[in-house]
Amino acid sequence: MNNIKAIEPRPPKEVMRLKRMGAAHPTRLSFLRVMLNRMILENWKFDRPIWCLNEEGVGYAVYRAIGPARTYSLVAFSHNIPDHMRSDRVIATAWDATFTLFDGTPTEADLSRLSRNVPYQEAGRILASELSLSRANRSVRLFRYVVACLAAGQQPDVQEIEDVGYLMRTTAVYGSGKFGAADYRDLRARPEMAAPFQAEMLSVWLIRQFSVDVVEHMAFCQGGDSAVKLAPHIKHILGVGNSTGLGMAPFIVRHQILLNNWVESREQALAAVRSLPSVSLQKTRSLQVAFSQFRLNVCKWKTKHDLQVGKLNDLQDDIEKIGDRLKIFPGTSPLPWDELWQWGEQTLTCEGQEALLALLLEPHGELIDSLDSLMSADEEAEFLIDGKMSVKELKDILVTKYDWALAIDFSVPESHSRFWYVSEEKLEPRFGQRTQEDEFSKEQPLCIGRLASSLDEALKPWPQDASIASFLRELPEHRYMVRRAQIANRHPYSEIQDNLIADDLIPLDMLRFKLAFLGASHFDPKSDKWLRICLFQGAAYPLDLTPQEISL
Amino acid sequence: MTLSKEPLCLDVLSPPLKGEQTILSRGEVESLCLKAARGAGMAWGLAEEAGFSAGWLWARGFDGTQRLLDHLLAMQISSGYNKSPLVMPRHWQAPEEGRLCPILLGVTLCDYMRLPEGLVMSGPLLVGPVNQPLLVLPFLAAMAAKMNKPVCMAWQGEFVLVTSEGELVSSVAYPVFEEGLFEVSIAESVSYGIQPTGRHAVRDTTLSMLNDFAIKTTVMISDQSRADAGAGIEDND
Repeated sequence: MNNIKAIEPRPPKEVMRLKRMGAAHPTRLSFLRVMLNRMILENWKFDRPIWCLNEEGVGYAVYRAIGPARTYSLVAFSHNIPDHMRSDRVIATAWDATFTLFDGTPTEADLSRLSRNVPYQEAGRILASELSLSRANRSVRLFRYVVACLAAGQQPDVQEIEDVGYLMRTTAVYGSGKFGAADYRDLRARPEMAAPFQAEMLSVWLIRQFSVDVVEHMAFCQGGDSAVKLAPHIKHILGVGNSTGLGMAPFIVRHQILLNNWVESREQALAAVRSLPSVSLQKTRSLQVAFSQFRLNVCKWKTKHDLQVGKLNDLQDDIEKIGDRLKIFPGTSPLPWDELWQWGEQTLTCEGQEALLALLLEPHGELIDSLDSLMSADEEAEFLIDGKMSVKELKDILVTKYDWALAIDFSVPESHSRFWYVSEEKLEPRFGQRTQEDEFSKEQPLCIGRLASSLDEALKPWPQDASIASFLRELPEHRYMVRRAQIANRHPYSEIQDNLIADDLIPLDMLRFKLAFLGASHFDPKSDKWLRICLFQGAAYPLDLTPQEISL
Repeated sequence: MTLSKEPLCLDVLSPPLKGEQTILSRGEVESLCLKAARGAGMAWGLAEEAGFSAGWLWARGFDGTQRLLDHLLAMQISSGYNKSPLVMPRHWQAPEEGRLCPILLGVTLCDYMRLPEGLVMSGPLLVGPVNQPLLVLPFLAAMAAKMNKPVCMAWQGEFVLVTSEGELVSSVAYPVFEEGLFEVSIAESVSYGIQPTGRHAVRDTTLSMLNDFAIKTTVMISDQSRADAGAGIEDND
């Protein structure tokens, strides 16, 4: 036993490739799970002090999450928009429902102010007392159908429910400082807000409750006494959908340290599990349960897009292999979890491996859940450039941490044929083909590989012992990349090691990666630039919450 | 060291704003100022640093957004602002006639902090003349935090000192940062400073003009760019 080598986390060059990042699956370290775990462990209470919707479903409601130290309220405004106005795009101006998460319990005056702003979303303003701003649209396919069924005293068909997976889908959930919301830095001292996206996750979970409540309300308005509520097994299947577009992609490039911390925590968790020398019967059972649930989940995962169909086929094949392999788990190896993992690395595709990772983490809450405290980042603390560093030291960083970038020939057209920019129209990120008219000055600085390459070139004529301070004084245009390189030197998982302006880049991979960390399941791409996902399927509902219910 | 005797409120270091205003979050101030600085011609890294400077000042009740806007407007008239300071022992100057860019000065002070020509080994430093000197203060704060010692900027009998905790001590209630030369030095530790907190407003005219710069970082709409957004198929289902 003493001779067993310590198991290292997987290296960045393996893990920070889009091919693998785009195969990410949600784990128990996802932000949604972190939020739910806290709600349960700390025995938060939930109520709905206000419900004021008319027969057309127009009005407002307030839901509260009451914790040991603080209360948060979801204020929901329900509207009735004609079908032609409904759109998930950022350019929409009206939605079926709009929301904000309020810090505390809102007064009449707060509700009045919010009613004048929240329904207008980006065109309104919110204050530091609001932690998130979001909106949701009804699923045209499902919503009316479910209302009609319930109104007639019947349950909707389970297959119809599973085909869509949600009654409503959010089209944006803004937090941290956006449109006037509270800045994350002012919230991070609160334990319930410290991990990433907790306000957003709480908002969406309460929106899920709202989506069921509004459907039942409309059913009762339509059907009166013959109407029924949704059966628990159907509610269970329903999540909150989301349409995710390119807006999310720049985030993981811009927030280097955050990206590092998410990945590093996950990799440390995997290494810790792999290092376990034993398996109890309880853990084996827990793994089996996780596998069964995962297999069921993937069976329901529907997609028509080419990109995803191939991956789904891989995953389905891999699931069968995992199922067979689990029959002989744990076996007799001194490191049974590691043996299983290594089998996976040799046998499964990327999709299967990342799914196996999630399965391996699932039974080990007591070992790894505390890693969630390492997933946020103090980016301010590392903003200063170290001017004393020498040119040689920086060159060494480029050679060791950016070898992937230096190996790319950016003069070749396919290496720089794409262009990240922000549209004037709605200030949203876009990703297009570079044309001759595209001004270099308008290109968003997401092409890190090329910037690293340019920096390397610029450093060539400089003496080895010159300071970076003197280099930057002469060439301040490299400050952005120098800062990144110095950060990357301290944070191994902080760069995506792919060319983000290459001809064959699939932005979807970046989106899926972030969505997996949020806790999304059911990735359903609609193009290579946006996709539908579902959150909270299979989880408890806040108003139903009992201590025994465990989330999925 | 004299502590300002004004009460601890938002306008303790700057007089209240007049005119139509909007209360922004710190994130919004930093983001807008970063984009405006880029739109005005700063490279991305420097623009990030301009956003940091404006946000830090805003958080302490200074009208950092207006000062940054004034500097960005000045940049459109004179190209001298894109030159880094001449770094010499004890005196840092503009390489040509005219003033230094406060952001370039601020970041260069930080970069050189522990080098022979920098604050630790070569201070006190006489620097300038610099345009909109208030914008340099946040960089002195960054150095103070790194060194765990207060840093002081002084001019014509006035001074503002920033502690390693980001708190401020000033010689007068509303320090007026004179454009010209000033001295940067490491100070003795102080036992107290003030840090006005809360959300601060930005004048709507300032916002509007910063937005005019920021919009230059975007690309005009076209059918092609609408297609680049993502949804190639109907998304209302």
